[in-house]
Amino acid sequence: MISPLINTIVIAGFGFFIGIILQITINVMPRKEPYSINFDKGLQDFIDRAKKSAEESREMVRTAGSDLRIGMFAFYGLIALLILVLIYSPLAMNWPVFLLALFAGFLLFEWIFKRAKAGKISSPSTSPTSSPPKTSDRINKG
Amino acid sequence: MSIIGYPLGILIGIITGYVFMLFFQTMIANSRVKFSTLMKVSAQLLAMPTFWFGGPWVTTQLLQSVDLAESLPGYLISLTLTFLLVVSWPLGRFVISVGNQIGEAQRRKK
Repeated sequence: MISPLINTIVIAGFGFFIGIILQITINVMPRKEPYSINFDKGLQDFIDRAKKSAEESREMVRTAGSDLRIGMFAFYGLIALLILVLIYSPLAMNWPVFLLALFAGFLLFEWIFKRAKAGKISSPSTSPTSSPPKTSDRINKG
Repeated sequence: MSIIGYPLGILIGIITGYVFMLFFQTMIANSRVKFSTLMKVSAQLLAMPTFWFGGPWVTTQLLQSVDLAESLPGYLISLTLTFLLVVSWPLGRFVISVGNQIGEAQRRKK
């Protein structure tokens, strides 16, 4: 039987890893132009804008680049991986630990990403994944 | 508790960590990934738990004298930590690389 401590560490490791992949998936998603909803113009304006936003999102997912699809596949694949691990191994799910670790992984990589975006960290030239897909097309125009 | 679980976990963690990064690199390197390739890679990704908890190495002659139930805690903990260590560093460099590109492009626009 697995001790609770080991169970916690393994579940936390999985949560952390899925948090990292979630952060990468979000970063490779194309960004929409931001817009503000003017509630003074009435309910119809709100509905029209909501419809337009939904259409834009649908179109974005349909025409998205391969990197978005890779990210989404990796994310859903890891969720399936976790389910399989829980079936095959004697581990038991610990939701609070899993969610906390997921947030920790996500926030850590988000912080790294923001620092890299600000130019405070630069990627080593010998990176095995040093040629990521072109990102200029997913930059927010706003 | 049997100590064989620790080196075994480290070994399997290194192997599967590098295999995962190989999948990831293959996907990144191809600018146009076909749906069939994605499905193939996903299937390989999903085969990892069966390798972790019941791969062909479990039934080898060498491990027949080992009590697997006793070495399981050590195996699990070292497998998780090694896998995370092997995978986190290249993924971190990838995120830094993407962040640098986006930051540079945004600065050029301004």
